[in-house]
Amino acid sequence: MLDDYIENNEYLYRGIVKQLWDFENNRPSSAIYKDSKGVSVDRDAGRSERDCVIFLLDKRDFFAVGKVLTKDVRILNAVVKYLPVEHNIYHSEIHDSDNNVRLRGRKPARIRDKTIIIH
Amino acid sequence: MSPPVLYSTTDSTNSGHRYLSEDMPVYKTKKRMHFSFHQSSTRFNDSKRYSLDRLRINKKILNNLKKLDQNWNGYLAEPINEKIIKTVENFIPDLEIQPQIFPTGRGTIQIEYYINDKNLAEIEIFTNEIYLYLIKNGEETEREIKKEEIQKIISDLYA
Repeated sequence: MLDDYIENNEYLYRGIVKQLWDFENNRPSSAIYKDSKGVSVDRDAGRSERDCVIFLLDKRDFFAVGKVLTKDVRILNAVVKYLPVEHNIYHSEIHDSDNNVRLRGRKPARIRDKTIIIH
Repeated sequence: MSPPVLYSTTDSTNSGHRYLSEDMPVYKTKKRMHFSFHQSSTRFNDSKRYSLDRLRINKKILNNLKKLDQNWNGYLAEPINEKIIKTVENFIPDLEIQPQIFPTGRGTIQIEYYINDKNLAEIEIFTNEIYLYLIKNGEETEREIKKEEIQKIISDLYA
């Protein structure tokens, strides 16, 4: 069982499909962080980067994989919640705030700017 | 990750290398690829201004968005709302500068203009609202807008 609290130095991993890749600027669109039910990510939970990527790619052949530091999300006053699901104990979500799930405007763009593409 | 294709533009208004999605309508030759440009007016001499070619690409992208099924992004994304696709199809031909178009996991469409980190616009089209995130000369704003405002916002961004 993982700790409910996600440490600031944990990375959050997100797979990116081709439709969300900005080929003109060679980076993902901030649209990757726009979801009505909270943005799903996998916390690293002490795993190596390689293991995190393999775990993600095992589920789907993503075009790219990015990671963002939990601290960089919290600094924008967004909220990171650990919400494990069946078949994914690492599943977590980024919410706009404690009371509002949906990210829009500045926050998705800033989180994208902090996202490091690793695959 | 399949690598994006590097291509060179060959017309008189664009130059340099860019990365190109395989989905884009590109005409392949043996050793090089090029867009087909049909520009005959001085209106088209500025590469940032009206481009029929970019409009054609955007129409194709919008058409492809209609084919996105549930879970298209691997995170239970919703299909893109048909009414939203129609809305964007209707207003993009009127835009003097064509945006980049992206779907979102919540079934909306985001159009983007990026000049640099201090000058950009992201506009998300919902069924019942349009939401703008704008950085102009480093100053950040975000607010709900009307469809009729989009053209002026973009013209001001590129002014």
